[in-house]
Amino acid sequence: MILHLTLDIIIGGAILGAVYSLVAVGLNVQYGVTRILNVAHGEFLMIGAYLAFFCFTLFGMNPFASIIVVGPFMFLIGVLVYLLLLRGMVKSSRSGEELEFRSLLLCFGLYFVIQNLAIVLWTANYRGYEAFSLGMIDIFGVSFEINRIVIALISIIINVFLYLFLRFTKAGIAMRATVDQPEGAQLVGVNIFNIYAISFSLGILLAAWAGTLISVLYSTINPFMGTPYTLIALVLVILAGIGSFKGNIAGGFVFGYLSYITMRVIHPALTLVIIYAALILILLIRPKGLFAR
Amino acid sequence: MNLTNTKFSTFLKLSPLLAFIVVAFAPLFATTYYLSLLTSVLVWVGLAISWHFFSGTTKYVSLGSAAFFGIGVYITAIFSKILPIPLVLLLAAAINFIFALCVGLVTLRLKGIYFAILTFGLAELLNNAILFWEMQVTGTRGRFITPTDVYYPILAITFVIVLSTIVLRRTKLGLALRMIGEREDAAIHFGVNTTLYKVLGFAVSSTFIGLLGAAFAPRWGYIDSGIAFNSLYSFMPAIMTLLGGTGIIIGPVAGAVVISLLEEYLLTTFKDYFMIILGTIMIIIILSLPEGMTGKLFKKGT
Repeated sequence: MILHLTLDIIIGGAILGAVYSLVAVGLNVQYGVTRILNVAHGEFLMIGAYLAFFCFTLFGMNPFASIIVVGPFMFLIGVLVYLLLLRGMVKSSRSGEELEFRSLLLCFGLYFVIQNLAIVLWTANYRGYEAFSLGMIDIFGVSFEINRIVIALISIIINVFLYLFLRFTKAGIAMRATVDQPEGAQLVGVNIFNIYAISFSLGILLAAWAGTLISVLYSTINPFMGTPYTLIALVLVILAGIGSFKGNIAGGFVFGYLSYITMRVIHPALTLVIIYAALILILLIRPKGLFAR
Repeated sequence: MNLTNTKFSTFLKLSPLLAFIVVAFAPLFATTYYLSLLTSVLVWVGLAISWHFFSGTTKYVSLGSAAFFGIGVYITAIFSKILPIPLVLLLAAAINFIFALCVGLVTLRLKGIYFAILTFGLAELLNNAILFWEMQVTGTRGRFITPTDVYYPILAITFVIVLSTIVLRRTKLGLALRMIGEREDAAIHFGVNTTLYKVLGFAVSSTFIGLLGAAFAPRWGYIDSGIAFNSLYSFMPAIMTLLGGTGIIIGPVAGAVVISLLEEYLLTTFKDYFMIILGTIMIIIILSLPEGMTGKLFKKGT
């Protein structure tokens, strides 16, 4: 029985960890590069989930395939939001602190607008969709839905591609340079305002992808589904250390295991409470995050 | 701030008093609707002033007002059946003060956005924890409170808040908070114990917020954790102060009055679209008042 539970926790926690790291990585890229703390992160995640839902119910598109449609679409949305609302703010703010605070309040406004727009457009009802099921797999006597394992794998693949993008492409290198030294990056010819736009939109795209995967993971969507993920992403960004990619992955797994253990051993309703308590403890010991450089 | 010695400033200082005289006699002539509207406006004014007292002055932006407001609400819900209202309010003040001291000691070591997120999460944490407690231990979702008239308690508390923030501004605490807002490292060099004053300032501000929650709770009759810890209470005070401007007390007051009346109008006129319009207005305020209002919040460049 104990062995059974242990195995369940090892695999279930890993699945959750992979998904969490995907949920948070978008916010980490966004905040790390632009200093815009997008508290509407979960709302973009929710839009991603609804897009996948409509792709499936209207066009019969496989949710995993709809990633290809959802991604570029949400990237464009991100560019639009950035150009309309945030570009002026980025240019007119005199200090990082000021930009942080103003963009935080702006994103709260966005959070209200998007969530309530979704309620008006799509009603507050839960919608369920059984896209498909790949059945169950038996791992040493513990059964898991194959869906979940596929979702975890896709999360990891997206993370790997993002890592490669940041590591080897020109835009990725410019983004990392901007995280480290905005002025320095400008000196060597990086147009940081373009980099800001790209990073912000990339964050939106990643949030939407996470939403698509989560909609398959739980098979239900509603306009409020995003908010808990915003909190998880915020907590993870702090825990990981801003702009730390490896910290984000590691932090995702730490919290994935933590919440899965809470769900299985203590009580599902306490997941956020435990995560949050852990965050406070960690910040007491390491005020800049576990993996900060 | 350079208005200190002008007549206009005297008027500004007296205007809260004048307003209170008008407001104090409002129950004699106002209808129930306007009285209840006035109550909400007073609560928002109190919240905005309390928020401004700490966060507006020090620039440590707290998004956790809902946590303290909610604690106040719950203290009334639990104790109003066994204790008289003044004792309940005292209890709410004491508990919030102690709780805020603890929270401040933990979180005020963190600058900027970390503090904002931690305080924001605090309200969510309490919301979840109390919901869990109620469902598991008491077996109910919410609690009933005997509805009583809250007008005069709210008025009294708001009055106390206004008076104490005006008085405290001139004390060592108020001056230290302002200095921390201007330049924290310089304050440290001058031998100001910044940690002490930050924690104390945060606790005072949170006590006010908790008092307002405790006094306002009987208005609802029924509360649950979602009502008590509504995140609106966390950032509406910030938005109101932002609109009104920081530095002098009239800023948050004006912001609170304007936004709460606007909110009421939108809520009654466009019920379904209320939050969308409010959010849009929030965005417009933030975008269109960068220098005038937030400019003051962040006068120094880094």
